[in-house]
Amino acid sequence: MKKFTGKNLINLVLIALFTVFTVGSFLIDFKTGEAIFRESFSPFVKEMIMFLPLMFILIGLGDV
Amino acid sequence: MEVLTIIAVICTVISLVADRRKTWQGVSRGLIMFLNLLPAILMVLILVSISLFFLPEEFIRDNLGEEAGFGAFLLAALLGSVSLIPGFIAYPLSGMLVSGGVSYPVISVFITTLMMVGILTIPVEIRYFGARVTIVRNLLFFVAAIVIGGCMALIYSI
Repeated sequence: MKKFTGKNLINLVLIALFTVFTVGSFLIDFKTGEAIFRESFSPFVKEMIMFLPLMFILIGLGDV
Repeated sequence: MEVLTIIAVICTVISLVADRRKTWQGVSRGLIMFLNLLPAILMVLILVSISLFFLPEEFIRDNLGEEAGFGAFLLAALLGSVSLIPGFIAYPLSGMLVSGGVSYPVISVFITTLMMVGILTIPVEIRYFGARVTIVRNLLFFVAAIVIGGCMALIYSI
């Protein structure tokens, strides 16, 4: 866990900032933040989350 | 998506029948790989989402669309050359760019340079293959990517 955090520290901090920005946008009704999440980020993440784990399972199976 | 799900299920079942222990090992190894890469993947998604939101569609169409010309090829080639993105992230990302107005020939140049040209990895490549091979290989693929983009433009204009 420590190794993972250390290796991905910058990415994790930026993801946390984006999360705070998004949650804050919904709380204070900041339209731009809401739109970035709804129109751009959310559909793309949904698509990636649907197929990436399956692909990695295939990679893992091929690896052993 | 359905095809990938079916393939994954069939492969897992075949693997389970062959060797249960190795299957579990493979699945867990794959999922650990996914979790390790997840922060980087999310970061790319966040950056692309924000960029696509703030860049007006007109700007993308004018600079990277069908009418953009050679400049778009060059820009895509340079971006692809300096990016270090694995293919399985690059394709959905490119799909997102296409729906944002970027043309297929430009995307072809971007993906080709992304896979074949690595400016950031040049020092490592030089260490293993020598400076001459590295520079010639990267230059040839850079030019080839632009030629491929030209061919794609030709095919798509017919």
